[in-house]
Amino acid sequence: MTLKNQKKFAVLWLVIGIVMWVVFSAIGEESFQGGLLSGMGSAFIVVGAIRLVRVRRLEKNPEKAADYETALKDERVVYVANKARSMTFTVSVYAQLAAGLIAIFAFDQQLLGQALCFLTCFQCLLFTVLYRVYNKKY
Amino acid sequence: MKNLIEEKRKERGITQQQLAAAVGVSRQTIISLESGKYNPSILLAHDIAQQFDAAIEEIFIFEEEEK
Repeated sequence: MTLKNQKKFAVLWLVIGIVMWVVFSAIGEESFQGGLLSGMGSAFIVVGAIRLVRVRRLEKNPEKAADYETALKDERVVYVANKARSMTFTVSVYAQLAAGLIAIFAFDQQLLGQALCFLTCFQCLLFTVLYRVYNKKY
Repeated sequence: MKNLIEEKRKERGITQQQLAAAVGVSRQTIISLESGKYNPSILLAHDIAQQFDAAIEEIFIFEEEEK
């Protein structure tokens, strides 16, 4: 992602965070949803602000910005990121399935357990489809 | 995969940063290449070989056992 796009996303995070914080704070922190979602809004504000500060710092230093943009497109960085993403997906699928089964059998949370198990099935199906698509393409 | 990047680079008096900038990668990638931790793509291997006016096989040593 270029610096320009990163700036746009940082502003987007900030705006979403502010809107969430304002709206859900108004609902009232007594309700679970209000408290949780206004907390999420605060987190989005912090993330957006940090990213914006980082982008502004890079914009003021063209040499560092050029190094940063090179590093983003660097093939080794892309390779490492893809490897990490792939491992995360694999671990997540098993973790979700385990969480779903535990929710059903240990805590009698049928709806939550089924949702997690269906999500896992969807991810596995999506992987199968995408694998076939990319196998044909390449 | 073994390679002669460090050797060739030192022969020409180029730093890792300069080589990285010349082929459009980060210095960390050059470090990983020189230590043999990372194998480059064919395009990157070609660009690096060109920097040293050599063929790819003169810089990167492929050994049959690596398969």
